[in-house]
Amino acid sequence: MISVRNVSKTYRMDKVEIDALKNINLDIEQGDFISLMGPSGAGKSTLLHIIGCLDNPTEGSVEIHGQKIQKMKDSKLSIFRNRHIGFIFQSFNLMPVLSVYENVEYPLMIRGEKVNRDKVLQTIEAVGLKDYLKHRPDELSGGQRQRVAIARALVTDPDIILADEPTANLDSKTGAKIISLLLDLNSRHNVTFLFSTHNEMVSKYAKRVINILDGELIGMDEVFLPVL
Amino acid sequence: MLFYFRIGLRNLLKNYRRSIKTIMTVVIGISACLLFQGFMSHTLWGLQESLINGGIGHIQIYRKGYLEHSIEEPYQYLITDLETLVERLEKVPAVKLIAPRLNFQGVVSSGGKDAVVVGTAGLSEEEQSLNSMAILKEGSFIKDENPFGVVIGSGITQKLNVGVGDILTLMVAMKGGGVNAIDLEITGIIEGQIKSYNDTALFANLNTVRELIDISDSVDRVILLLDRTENLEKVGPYLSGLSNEMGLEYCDWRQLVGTQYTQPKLFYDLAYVLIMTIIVLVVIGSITNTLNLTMQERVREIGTIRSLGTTRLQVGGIFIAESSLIGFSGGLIGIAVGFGLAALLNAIGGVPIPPPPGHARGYTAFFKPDFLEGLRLMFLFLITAALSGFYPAYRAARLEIVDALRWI
Repeated sequence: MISVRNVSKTYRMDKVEIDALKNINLDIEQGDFISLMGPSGAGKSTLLHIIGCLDNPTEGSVEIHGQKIQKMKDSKLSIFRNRHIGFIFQSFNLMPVLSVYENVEYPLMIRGEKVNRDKVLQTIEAVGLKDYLKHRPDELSGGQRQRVAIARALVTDPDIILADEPTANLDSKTGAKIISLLLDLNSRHNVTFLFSTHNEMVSKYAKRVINILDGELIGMDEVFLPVL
Repeated sequence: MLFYFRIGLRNLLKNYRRSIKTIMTVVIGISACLLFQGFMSHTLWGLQESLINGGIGHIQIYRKGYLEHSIEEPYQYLITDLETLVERLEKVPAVKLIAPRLNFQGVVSSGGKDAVVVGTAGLSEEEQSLNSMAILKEGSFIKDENPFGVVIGSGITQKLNVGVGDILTLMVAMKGGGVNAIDLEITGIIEGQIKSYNDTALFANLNTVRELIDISDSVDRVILLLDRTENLEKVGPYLSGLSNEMGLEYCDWRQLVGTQYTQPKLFYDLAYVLIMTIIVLVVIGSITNTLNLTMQERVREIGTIRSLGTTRLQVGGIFIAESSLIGFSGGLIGIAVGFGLAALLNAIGGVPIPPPPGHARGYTAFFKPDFLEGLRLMFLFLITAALSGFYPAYRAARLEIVDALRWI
């Protein structure tokens, strides 16, 4: 489904060049639940951004369903992201002026089509927040906000959901619940997840763990279904 | 489209203090423009009415050829069939007053001093109605039963050091050549708004002046005063037909006043444009500044919505919707404040204005803002506000997603 081939990313900071990623090769299949493990600065976020079409690699290519995303114009890429990729951020990144319902509805609204209200409600219910439709983000707990973010990522039926340290701002108990929710969505709805973390405890829940250090993949571990 | 405005409105409400301050800039700007327009409108209307009721009337009718040749041959183009003309004019709708008049120039002297005068010879009641904007400072207006009475401008009395009851000698050129003179008694002193008027105005009995100049039963013009200035276009067709039949020509007050009206109007129009330009620039600066601040606070949010699939154009649209909402709400409130302030200032008696250059008296300014102008201003400020959002919108749309997501 997703093919990453010889991807490298170099940043220039004043006169210094930093190799954030070096020759990454990776395949992600439908239904995968992958943890990207590594310390801070390893290149996890950079890889997620490139796979998520938020950034371009300096070298190499990414194909999603056979489409080379580097060749797309910005406006087409925006539409592609909206239809094929979902995002969950460490700091939730909800729109503070919109309610729970409106935050989840947002990715559908920007398409310019009539929004399927039932779809939005079902998605919110799937993350257990049907009683909080009119609440604003500042009226929710951290865990609830992350659930809203998950619903927002899910509502467009994306091919893959990319989560950048989704539990980093949550306590361990809440974090476990969030990962449990993601696992549930993965097993029941076959949603593909790729999430980054530097927390080994969280990684234990993944079916596959990809280790990354100093911009290079240093190993992939297959694990069996975790016990929660 | 509605979604841009929904998000824009929510963001304005989120930072309501900042939004209110920015909206107030638009409110103050638009109400200031409206007040100035109201002041200008009333002042020009006052000038128009004072010129019309300061002796010019709404329309002046002449013998055909008078306008072209009267300077070199002042008494060769006179209206002689006055009675017939007056009868016909009485049937024209909207005509309130018909005043036969003979204009002349001469010199008045007293006690070794003299002054040039622009004389008006007419019927007393009609002339008094035509000159209603002038104030009779002393004495009384000319009376038909006193053919040797004369009313002069206050500037002449000061120059010749004369007053009511004093005798002046009036000297004029006659129709066939030569000079004639007559002694007249000052019955009244008149003062208008314009200094040059006060320095040269003289009103005398029509028949007395006719004899002095040696013309009989003739006048050089007939002046019409209408019930309302707005009815000027209404009488046009009647006068056109009448003029063709009787060999006459006519012109209205706009052609008669010349630069006395057009120059002040041009001055006010330019001042209005200048004031509006300054205000628009201030509003642009204020809105752009507010939206730039808003954009800085929402960099990460912009990165997030871009990652969700919002295009650069849509990001720009959100900011322009916000600036448009500021313009729209500020415009609505500004119009209400502008009209409200105008009504309040009028209710407390207006604003006293000192004598402008060339005027003898000051006046009280009232405010007469025009509703259509209010709508035009609202549209202008709406566009201004929308355009003010362009630069912040452009900056927001150009943000790189990953840089925006990393923003602290």
